[in-house]
Amino acid sequence: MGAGHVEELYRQHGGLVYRRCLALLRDPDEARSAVQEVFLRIMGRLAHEEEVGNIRSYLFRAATNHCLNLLRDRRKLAESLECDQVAGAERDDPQQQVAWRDRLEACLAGLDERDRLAVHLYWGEGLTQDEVAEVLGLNRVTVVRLLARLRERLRLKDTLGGDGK
Amino acid sequence: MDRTVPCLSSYALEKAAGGKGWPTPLSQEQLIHIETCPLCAEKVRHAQAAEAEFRNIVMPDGIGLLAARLRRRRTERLLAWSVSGAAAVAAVLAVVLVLPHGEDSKDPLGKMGGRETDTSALQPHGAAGDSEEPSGTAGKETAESGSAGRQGMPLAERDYTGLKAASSLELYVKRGRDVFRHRPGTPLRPGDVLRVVPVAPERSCILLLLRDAAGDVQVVYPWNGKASGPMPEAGQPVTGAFELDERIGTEEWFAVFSNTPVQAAALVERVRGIGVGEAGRQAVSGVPVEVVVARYEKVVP
Repeated sequence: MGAGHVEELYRQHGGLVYRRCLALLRDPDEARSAVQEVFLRIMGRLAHEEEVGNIRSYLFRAATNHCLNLLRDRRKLAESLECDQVAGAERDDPQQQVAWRDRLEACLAGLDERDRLAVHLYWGEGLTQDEVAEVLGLNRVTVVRLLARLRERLRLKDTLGGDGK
Repeated sequence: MDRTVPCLSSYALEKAAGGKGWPTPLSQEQLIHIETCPLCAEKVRHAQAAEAEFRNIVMPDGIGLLAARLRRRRTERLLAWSVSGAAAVAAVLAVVLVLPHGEDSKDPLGKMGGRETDTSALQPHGAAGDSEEPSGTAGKETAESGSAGRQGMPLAERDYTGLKAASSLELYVKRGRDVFRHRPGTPLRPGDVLRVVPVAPERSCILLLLRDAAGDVQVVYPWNGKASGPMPEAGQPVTGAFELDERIGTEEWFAVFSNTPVQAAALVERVRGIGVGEAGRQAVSGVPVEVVVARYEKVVP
């Protein structure tokens, strides 16, 4: 993996990373900076032959992880979550949306990177189990078990309402 | 708006905006939904506008900046290497001289991004190392061609060591930062992540079943499939990694190799109905198949 390869990846898939960073960070300048960081980190990881699988899923995951780390550092993580995912009656109530985000942010604290990403994608952004499996590069059976374990661990059933989603 | 499909997730919308090259394409229902849902259609348009913004504004400056930063990073790395070069070369030479060489160098461990700690091959049932049975056995038994007439009959255990084109099932375990190849008798732990590499050079199809510690049997490759799927390329794992859950006990993996797809339902029922450790000693299908079983105890350390 050379610098030329990374530049080519940037040309081909930079738009994907930029859109993802823009969607999560909601600031064009921050998103531009984040895109640079994502591709710099990719070079380091690919140099160590980290398994990539599908490059687009990998970049989606890498960009999401990087942005979640930035948001966590800035304690803005919950604000980045789509309001569409708020359950039931909370959906139309701004105060309840804020409360829901606070609860989810509390849930995310203390998880490792992969688990935090799974929680964010599934409960935060409403990806299906199949989509979470694609993004994480895991088999669906593993994702189903992972989410069940996280739901139990975080008691999302009670915290997020309904069946946890 | 199409009410049969919920609004698309950010990932699906990205697929809609980002074109081809994803592991799976959007379904027909999702495509129809985008056409009929104003909200999703607007999100796709917004994403496409962001793509244009990237192409026209971000990339022209960004590519030069990225290239410069990559060059600087490479220079810094070369500088660091030159400082510690002598020590590194000595260390590498020592490793090369000490480490054994062999077929393990072909193992796909690097794909799991970890460190190999155990390179022992899985031993076929009846081969050396089986004294450790029943715990942790990775066995190989067959319901070879002609099994139609022997269905349900016990099969003689055979030592396949040295047989040309013998089939096997290799489990690679990732535990924390370590990666190792499972060997018979080695217990595994909840949280271990497995990748499964089937070896059957003369077979073109595989159906992979897992009987977990609770006795539940499921088709894990193809995931929830109704019939066998194609063999992965030589030395490659089947799709996906499998994380072991919290339930302790014996788990068994059944690789059903064949040259034509076999139906899963009957095999699942068959495996479900026989005892742990007996699996594979009975023919499990009426069609020519070869069954390889990998078995281990899952324990809490």
